[in-house]
Amino acid sequence: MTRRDFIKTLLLIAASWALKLRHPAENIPSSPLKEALFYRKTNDLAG
Amino acid sequence: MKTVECLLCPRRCRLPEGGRGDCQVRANVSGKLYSLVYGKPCAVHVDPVEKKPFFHVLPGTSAFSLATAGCNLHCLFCQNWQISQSSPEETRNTDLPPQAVIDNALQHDCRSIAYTYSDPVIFYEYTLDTARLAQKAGLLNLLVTAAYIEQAPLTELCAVTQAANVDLKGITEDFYKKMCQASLRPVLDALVTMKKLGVWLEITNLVIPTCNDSDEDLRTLSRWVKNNCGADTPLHFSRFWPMHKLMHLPPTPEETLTRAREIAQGEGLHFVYTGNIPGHPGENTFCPVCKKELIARKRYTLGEIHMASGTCGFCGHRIAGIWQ
Repeated sequence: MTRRDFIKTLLLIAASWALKLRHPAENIPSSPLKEALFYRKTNDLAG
Repeated sequence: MKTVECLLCPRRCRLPEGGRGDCQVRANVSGKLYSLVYGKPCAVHVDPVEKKPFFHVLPGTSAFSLATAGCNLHCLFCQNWQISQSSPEETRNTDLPPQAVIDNALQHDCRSIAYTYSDPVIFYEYTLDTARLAQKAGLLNLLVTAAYIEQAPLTELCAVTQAANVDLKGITEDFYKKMCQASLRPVLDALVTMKKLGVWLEITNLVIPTCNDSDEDLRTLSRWVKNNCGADTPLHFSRFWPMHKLMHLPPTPEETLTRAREIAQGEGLHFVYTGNIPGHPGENTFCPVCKKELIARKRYTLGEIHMASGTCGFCGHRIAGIWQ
């Protein structure tokens, strides 16, 4: 990998990271959450 | 640790506190499981019912169509991957509680509500509550789904569902495992249950070059549909378009869909359609008795209709479906 390719890759990684960070949880429920149907509590104690 | 097990779909996700299911839209908050997308659709449209596709359900009418983010399958060929493979944080969502869905549907002269685009299984509670209200308002409830769901929630949903278009993606366990990260058996079981509970069924198979387009696959699938759902069950063979993780494959050739249709007809299915090829004769409905054309279609537009009260306008044979 050339120095130029290396910098390009770094920039791409930084850009994709920034894009991910841009998504705040703002779309997630402003209204109260709805409890789901069909689930059960489990006892996950090990041993 | 307050772990919960989701019993909605065959994945049976076990979620630690703060965790989310494989579908990305069900979360364990302090030991209780919550839907993160209830009343929060990311796609809302008024569509022709033919687009779903439903060819034997109120032709020419509009379906109020909605979806939320997420999916419990991860098909490499997903045609709606932008929303189905996203979490609710990654989509632009609207506040649309169940009653507002009904009000909007009526306002737009829709005869039905279609729970579609991603999969109603993962927005189960939203679908169920909306469907109950819709039924009271005289609207039909239409599911467009991969039917990857457990029997108990399916049975409850079927009580308020009039019709379902089930995407039967392939007919081998291997296909479901490799292409969808899922399994076939629960889908077949769901189809049988829906049929038994009186839901009008149409089945769609996306035909993907080199993946599920062999004569053997097409024949096995058609035979299974006939034997388990009945010869009157419409089967739609749909054209694949390079998408998501299968960009390297070509679109399905027209000849492949023509071959699929001939194989299914040869297996005794009465209503076999081709999708995504406008102008193909496989878009039209023919009477299985007198063989005359009953409904002409081009893409989502209807042409001449020769039916009266659900019967063939030529020979009087009753055509299976929901016509009024």
